[in-house]
Amino acid sequence: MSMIYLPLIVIAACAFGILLCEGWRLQKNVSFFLGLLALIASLALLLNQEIQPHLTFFSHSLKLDGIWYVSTFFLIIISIFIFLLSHASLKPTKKEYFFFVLIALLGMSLISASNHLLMIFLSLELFSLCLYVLVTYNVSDVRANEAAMKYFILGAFAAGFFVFGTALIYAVSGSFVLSDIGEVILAPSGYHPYLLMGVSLLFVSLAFKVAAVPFHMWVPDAYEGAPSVVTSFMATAVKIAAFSVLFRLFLTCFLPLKTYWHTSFFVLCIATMVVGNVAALMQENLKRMLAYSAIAHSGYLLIAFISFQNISDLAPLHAFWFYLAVYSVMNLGAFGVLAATGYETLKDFQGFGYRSAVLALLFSVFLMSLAGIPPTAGFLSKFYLFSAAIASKQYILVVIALINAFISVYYYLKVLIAMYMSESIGGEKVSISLPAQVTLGVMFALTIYLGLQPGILNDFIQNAMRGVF
Amino acid sequence: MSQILFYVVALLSLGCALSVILQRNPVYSALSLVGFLFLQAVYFVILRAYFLAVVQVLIYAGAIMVLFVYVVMVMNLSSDDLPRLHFKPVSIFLGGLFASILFYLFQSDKPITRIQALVVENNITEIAKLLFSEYVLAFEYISFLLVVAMVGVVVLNQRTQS
Repeated sequence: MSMIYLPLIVIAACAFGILLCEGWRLQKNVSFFLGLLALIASLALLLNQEIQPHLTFFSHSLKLDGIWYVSTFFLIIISIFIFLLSHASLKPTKKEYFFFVLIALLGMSLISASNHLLMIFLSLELFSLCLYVLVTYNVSDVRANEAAMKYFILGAFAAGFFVFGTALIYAVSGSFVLSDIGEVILAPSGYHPYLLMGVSLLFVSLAFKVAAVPFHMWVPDAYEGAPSVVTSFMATAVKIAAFSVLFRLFLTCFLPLKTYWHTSFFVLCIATMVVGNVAALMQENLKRMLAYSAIAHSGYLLIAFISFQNISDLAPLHAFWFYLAVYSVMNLGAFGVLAATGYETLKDFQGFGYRSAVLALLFSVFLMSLAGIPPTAGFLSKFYLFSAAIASKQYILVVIALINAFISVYYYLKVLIAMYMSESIGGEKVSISLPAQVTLGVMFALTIYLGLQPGILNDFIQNAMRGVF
Repeated sequence: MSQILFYVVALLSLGCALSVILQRNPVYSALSLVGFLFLQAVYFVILRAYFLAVVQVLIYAGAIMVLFVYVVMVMNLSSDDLPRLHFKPVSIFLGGLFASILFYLFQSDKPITRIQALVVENNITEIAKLLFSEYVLAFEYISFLLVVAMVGVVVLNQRTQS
């Protein structure tokens, strides 16, 4: 029972093992297999655990409840496929690369478990530091350097906001522990205005991490400059981590303040959807386009926060986690195609459907799923989210979200048209290696399977979310 | 007495902080930052947190500032390289808005009662106790973070050489 955090210890230990592999000059593949083994072992250990929603560790620093369980489960699976994709597409693979991926995973998992503002901050820094290094993987690439620099400086600003907010909250509550802060909020004497200021500063900092609109400037550059594998890691894992902490803060601890934060979430949600989709229309580079689409998807996810009214109706929350899972699957697939082929612009994809029929088909399915076209999981996730929003009478939001979903179909279809309806610019058939084939195949299967049989994922989420509130 | 001291130090540190961002020459900025960090140490003395004051001077004003000045020296900027200071009206407006919101908030007369200052004779012992009991995980975690930062720096530099 006390070893519920064993999966994390396994990951941390193997990460440092990988670092030692470099020192001992072992074979290049050793670190890859060691990392993969660690991930699979920790996944098995995680699935073996019973969730204990009310148990906290290290004087309330960590709370390994359903939020942690679900996000760590997703994160480990994502990391396994990131490992496979990196092995397939990054040549030469540096050993420290896998070290940073594992440590980033650790930071993300811990941030979703943090019940303590200090721990949230430290985990935020831990995984951000790893990502700054991962973005500059190609050090000779000028774009990568620029991207990492922008990401680093803006990330430092976001961290500054977080610290300022934490300080203000601490000044009022005298504690970093979220449950104590929750008590202060509910205290009959009312709360101090510092508290509201602190909460809004925390919100700014986390909105930066989830790429909500006024704070999204770094996203297209960082996504474009990073190697495609790292981009897919950023688009999926970082988003899960950032949303899980936003979830824990605003839907458990700061929930009594919803009257205050409701409007800012509302405005940000609409801005994120509209700006993300409209900007994506104008992109010629697919990585930038998918970056803006990732921003737009953050907007859709914010709908769940607004439509969550009280703890008697958990439908928006289940829809939220379902959306996050499906979003990760289809983005991992779409960026995986970019990573495996090395293509970036719309021009590269011209006539792709005739050169590599299978890959083009997979890519089309991922894009259609992102657009939310029916037989795919992307449709179902949007359906759950929007119907939960309708059930809580957020009609304006749903109408705007639907209009945006229609806009998004245009730019996803643009890629399909390039692939199937334009003259091939020549070039040989693209062949991708086995690990990449496995990754894309699994993502494809999941996209279709979850679209037809969502029950298994839904049950998993509902089981885990029991007892969070 | 301590109130007067506080206001004097506050004004001085405000001046230093402004000077950090308004100086064109980075060396002057760095020196203003040293002044600012020293004045921060004075706050800790007013709060009777003597250990923190010493640490503040040693680590920030000492170690970290040396790094800053060193970097500025290595870069060896001439005055042509330095950017002209220019302020966009939008940023002034937004900054002013943020400042006035903060000012408005700090005017609030609601008392803050939750924090009890840690006023004891030997506050090193108290800090040590806290570090190894309540904050033990965070304490260990920071060492983890430092290792990762160090490896990151080494990795980034390795690649630049090759």
